[in-house]
Order: sequence, then C-alpha cells, then structure tokens
Amino acid sequence: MKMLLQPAKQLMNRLTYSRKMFVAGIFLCIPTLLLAYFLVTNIYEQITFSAKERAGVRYASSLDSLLQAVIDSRYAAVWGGKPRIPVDQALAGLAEVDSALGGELGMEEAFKTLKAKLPDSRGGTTRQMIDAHGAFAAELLEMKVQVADRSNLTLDPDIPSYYLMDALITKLPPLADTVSRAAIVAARLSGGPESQAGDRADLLLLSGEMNTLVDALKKDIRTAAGADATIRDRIQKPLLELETAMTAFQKELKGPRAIGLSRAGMEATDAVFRAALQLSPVLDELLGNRISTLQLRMSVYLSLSLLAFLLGIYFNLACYLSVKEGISAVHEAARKVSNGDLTVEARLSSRDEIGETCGMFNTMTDNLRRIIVTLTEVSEKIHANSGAIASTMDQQSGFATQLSSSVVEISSTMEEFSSTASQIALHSQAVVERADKTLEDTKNGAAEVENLTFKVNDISGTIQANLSEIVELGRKSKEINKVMEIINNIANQTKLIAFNAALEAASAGESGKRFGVVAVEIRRLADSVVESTSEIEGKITEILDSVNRLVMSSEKSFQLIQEGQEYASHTVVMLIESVDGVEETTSAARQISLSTQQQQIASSQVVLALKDIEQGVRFSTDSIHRTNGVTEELFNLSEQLRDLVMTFKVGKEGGGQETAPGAEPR
Amino acid sequence: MNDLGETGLNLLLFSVGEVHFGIDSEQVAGINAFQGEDAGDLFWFHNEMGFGDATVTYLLPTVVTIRCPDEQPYRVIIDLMEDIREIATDSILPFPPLLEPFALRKGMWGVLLVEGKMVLLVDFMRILREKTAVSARHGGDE
Repeated sequence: MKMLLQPAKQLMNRLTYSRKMFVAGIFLCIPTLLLAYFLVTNIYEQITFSAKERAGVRYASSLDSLLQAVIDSRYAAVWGGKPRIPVDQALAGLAEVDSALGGELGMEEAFKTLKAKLPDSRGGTTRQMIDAHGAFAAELLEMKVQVADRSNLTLDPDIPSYYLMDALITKLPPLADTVSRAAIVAARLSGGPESQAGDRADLLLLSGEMNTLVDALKKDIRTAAGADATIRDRIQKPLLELETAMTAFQKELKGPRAIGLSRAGMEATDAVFRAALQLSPVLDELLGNRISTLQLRMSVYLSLSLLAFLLGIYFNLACYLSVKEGISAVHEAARKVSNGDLTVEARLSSRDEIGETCGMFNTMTDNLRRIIVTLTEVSEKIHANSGAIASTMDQQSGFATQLSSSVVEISSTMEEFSSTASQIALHSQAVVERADKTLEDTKNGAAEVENLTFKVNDISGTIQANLSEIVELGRKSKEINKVMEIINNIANQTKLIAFNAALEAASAGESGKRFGVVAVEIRRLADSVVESTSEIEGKITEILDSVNRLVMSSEKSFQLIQEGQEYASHTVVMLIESVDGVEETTSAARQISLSTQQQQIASSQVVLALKDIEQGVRFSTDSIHRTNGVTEELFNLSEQLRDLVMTFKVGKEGGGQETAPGAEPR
Repeated sequence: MNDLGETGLNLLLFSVGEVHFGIDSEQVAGINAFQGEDAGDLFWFHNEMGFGDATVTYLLPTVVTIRCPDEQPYRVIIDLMEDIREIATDSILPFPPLLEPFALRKGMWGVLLVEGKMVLLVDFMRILREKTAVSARHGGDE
C-alpha cells in the first residue's frame, strides 16, 4: 500500500499546502463530475430511448389507421359500399408521420416499399382484391413489428409499457387482420360467390388464431394492469369491450347469416382498433411519465451533483482557508521563532490538528522561552563563574608555577644540601681523620713549640745584639752627616768666594776675564761639591732612616719575639690543653660524621619527597593548565552560548519585548 | 767693556720665594753668607720689594752688599744665588706702560727671559733713593 502511495506522496511532498488542497479538490471533484456526467448521460439516454418509443407508438398508431383503412377497403370489397376511411387518406396521414418520425426511426425505405406495394382498388376480382389487401395488411403488420424494433418498443424495460406495447404491436393488429380475414372467409362459406374448398379449414384456423390472440391480449392486459394499478381501469375497459365484440363475432361465425356476420366482423374489427386507440395513449402516457420521471431524476441528479460540486468546492475552499490560516499562523510563528523571536504566539481558534499544533507550538515557544531565559541566566552565571574560575585558575596557575619553581628551587637546594651533606659527611670523616692527625700534630706541635721557644730566645738575644750594632751605625752615620755639613759649608763659602771673585772679575773688565773663568769653574766645582754633599746627605739621611726603621723594626721584632716567647709559652700550655680539646673535638667530629651521614640519608629522603612533591606540583600545574584551558573553553562556550541566546527574543515578564536577559539587542 | 760692547750687561741672578730676579753686578760690592746677624743697614729682600704679608722662606740666605756712591751702607739678604751671566741689553724688555710706574717705584726696571724663565731686573740704587726720599718726607712731616 505504501509502495502504491509513494509516487502520490512524492508529488504531494513537492507542493505547498494550498496546491495540495487544490490538487486534492480537483481529484475529488472530477469523479463527482464524472459520476454526475455518467448518471445524467445514462438518464438522457433513457429519455432518448423512451422518446424514441413514443415516436414508435405514434408511428404505430398511424400504421394502425392505415391497417384499419385497408381492412375497411377489404370489407368494402367483400360486402360492397365504400370504406369509412380511405386508404389514401390514411396513407397520407402515415406519410406525414413518416416525414416527421421516419428519419428518427429509420423507416423511410420501408415506407417507400410499403407505398409501392399499395393495392389498386379499382382493378381485379374480389378475390384478388382480398388477397392484395391481405398481402398489404401483412406488410403493414411486418412494418409495425419493424417500427417496434427500431423504436426500442420491443426493448422496453418496464412491465406495463412492455406488455401494452406487446398488445399494441403483436396482438391487436394481427387480431384485427385475423378478424377481418375470418369474417371474409365466413362470409364466403355462407354462400358467397367465390367460396373455396379450404375456407372452412381456414376459418377454423383463423378462429383458433383469434382465440389465441385474444387470450394473449388478455394476458398482456392483465399483466400490465397488475404491474400498474393506475392504468388498470383504462386498459381493462377496452379489453372487455373487445371481448364482448369478439364473443359476438364468434357467435356470428357459427351462424349462417352473412349480414350479421359482416356487421359483427366489422364491429369486432372496430373494437380491436378502438382498443388500440385507447391503449396507445396509455402507453404513450406511460412513456411520457417515464420520460418525466427520468427528466426529474436527471434534474435531481444534476442539482444534487451541482450542489455536491458547489458544496465540495465550498467546503474545499473552507478547508483550504482553514488549513491555510492554520499553516500560515504556524508558518509565520515558526518563521519568527526561526529568526529568534520567542515572543510570538500562534493565534488560531480551530479545533483541528493544526489548532492543536498551534497550541502545542505556543506551549513549546513558552517552554523554549523559559528555557532560553533560564539558559541565559545560566549562561551568564557560567560566563561569570568561568571568568572567575579562569581568573582563579590563572592565580592558582601562577601560584602553582611559583610553588613548582619554589619546589624546584627547594629540591635543587636540598639536592645541593644533600650533596653538601655528603661532602660534609666526607669532610667530617676527613675532619675526624684530621682531628686524629691534629691530636698527634698538636702533641708534636707542643714539643716543637717548646723547642721553638728556646730558638726564639736565642734569636732574641741575637736581635738585641744586632740592635746595638745598628744603633751604633746610626750614631756613626750622624757623625758622617756632621762632616758632610762641614763640607757643605765649605763648599758654600767657596761658592760665595767664587761669586765674589766673579764679581771682581766682572768689575775688572777684560783683565779679570780669565780670573772670572776660574771663578766660574770654582763656583761650579763648589756647586758640584754642594750637589755631591747634598746627595751624600740624602744617602746618609736614607741610611739614617733605614737605620731608624731597622732599629724600630728590630725593636718591634724584639718586642714581637718577646711576645712570641710569651705566646709560645702560652701556646705550649694551650697546646697541652688543646690535646684534651682535640680529643673532644675528634669525638665530636665522629658524632658529627654520624649525624651528617644520618642527615645525608634524611636529605636524600627529603630530596626524593621533594621530587615527588615537584612531580605532584607539576601534575597539579598541568592539571591547572588543562583546567584553565577547559575553563577558557568553557568561557568561550559560554560566550558562544550567550551569543546564541542573544539571538533569541524572549520579551519581558510583563509582556514587553526585549531580547534575552543580560544581552544587548542586535 | 764686555763681549757685547756697550750693549752687554753682567747680571747677578738669584731667586727669592721661587721668583727669579737679576741685578746689575756693577751695583754689588760683595757677597757674604748670612750669619743671622741683625744690623740697621741689613734688609730682607722681600721687605725691600714689598712682598706684603706673604711668608717667604729663605733656603740659603746670602747677604749682598750694594755699592753706594755716598758710602751709605746698604745690604740686602737674598736667597739662592744662581749665576752671574752676561746678557745683551736689547734682550731686556720694558714693563707694559700700565705697570711701568708701579714697577719703577718698586725698583724693577725690566724683564728678561733666561732659559725660559722670567727674570725681573731690580735696581737697588733706585730702591735706595726711594727709601731715602721716603725717609726725608717722614722727617719733614715730623
């Protein structure tokens, strides 16, 4: 079923709802119109069918008139006189009917043939005339059956009309012809001039044929009357009259009187045609009623179809407008919601699924608006909290980094401390060894210091002797200085003399020039002496200074040596005391060495613990960095969420319009 | 006469307080070592030249006896006699006109460059005449 509906579903999926409704309306109206068309066409065909039957009844009535005229002519040929209805007049009436209905019934050719076979009433014997009329009557009967076939009378669907048709077409005309022929045969048997040997048998056959036709006619009439009570009286009365006439004719057939026979035959014939004349309107009326009924039914069908069509269009339009209104309301609301406006409300008062959808849509937008408001508040809180977390995480990251750095520094320091502790342990061991060595050295040193004291005493004596010599040297140097002062005075005096000599030489002029040269040389010699004595004085001064410094140094050295002697004595005492101290120091150094080894182990454990702490801090820092990244991502997500939320318009609680809380309208 | 003829001059060069001076050897009668004596005709050079309150240290004080025309005793204590040198008179430069009156009152009559050192030429006779004139003015005032 789904496979069968799939193409139509795909087609409908490509159309808007208005076009869907239009297409559905078209496909709903077309069958209605087709059904109406087929119904009306069927009814119209039935009307046409019945109308053609009515034409056949009319044509058959004209043929009955012509048959009656032919039978009258035959009676006139037997019993003399003129026919009551001339055959020509009846034929003219038939021609009029044929011109009106022959084309519709297709009887033109048959009518032309019939006209060609019309008997000539002016020539021939009576017998020939009777035979000619008999043959013509047979043609008429044949033509009447042909009319009944072509006018659909033989296909009549209703029982009353069908049996009336049967009576009118196949019973009454043959009965009239049979009555006429029986009357003529009876007349011949009653002593007519042209009696023949087979007339008695013919009369018997014709009598039996009449009885058969009357019985069949009676059966048709009863059946029609039984089927339609409204026509019962109208069709039974002619039958009764016909039966009476036929009874009378049957009596006359058994008598010898030709006059009575002719009159009874004519009356029976007239009764047959009267019955035909009375039944034909009934049949026509039945057909007319059927046509009226069909026309009424067609009108009803047309009206109902038109009404159904109009109602279909009306309700289809109403349905279209209802659906369009609902869909437009939902569409407009959905469009505004898609643009972020959550304040929209789909207003629709219909109680159908679209109305329920509008209600659910409004409920959904209300829920969505509340969710957006809540989401906005939550996103704002997330945003603020993520910012605070990010700030805190930044601080914590900074703290962790500082802590990591500090731990690294502490670890490094502890490693150095451990290394130092190791070195201290080694050194303390060396200190122990050194202390042992020191103890031994101290003991040796005490002995050596004691020897040193003796040596220093010797040095002190030597220095004291040297100091006396140096003092003597200084004194002699001062004496040399005095000598140099004398020499310097002499040189200055010599210089003055040389200057005076030069002055004298200058004042003596040319004669004192050589003396002046000598004076100059003496002055220069005196200057040289002065310079030499100055240099000697400088050297002696330096010697004296050196002697003084040496004396002072020697005195200081002597003093220091004396102090050294005292210190050496004290040192000996202290060294002796130090031996005990060094022994204690050695013991303490051993304790220190042990403690330092324990400290080294403890430091190593602290270093390991610090490495664990460092690794933990590193993990913590990495975790903080990751947390910071996640927080930043959360911050960005909250930003995106806030931006996303800001696209919605949720309105105020009081009904005012505004964007999401805490968001700037865009 | 000297080697430079009329333009030559023998100068006794000495220094007092690191200032170089020169006097015409013709004005010097004799040179003696200063023995610390104190006499009325013996004057310290810095007082004669008016060095003011500046403290002058004499390293080798020497007494120069000035040859006076009227046998008036006049001796000056100088320091650090350096040389007796014969110089050309055209190498002697006068003082600038602005300073010359002041310099002449102090007995300085010229400037000489000797081995790159500026030597002030002193005329003890002019100093003696100034002292005599001042004494005469002081005596007239009294």
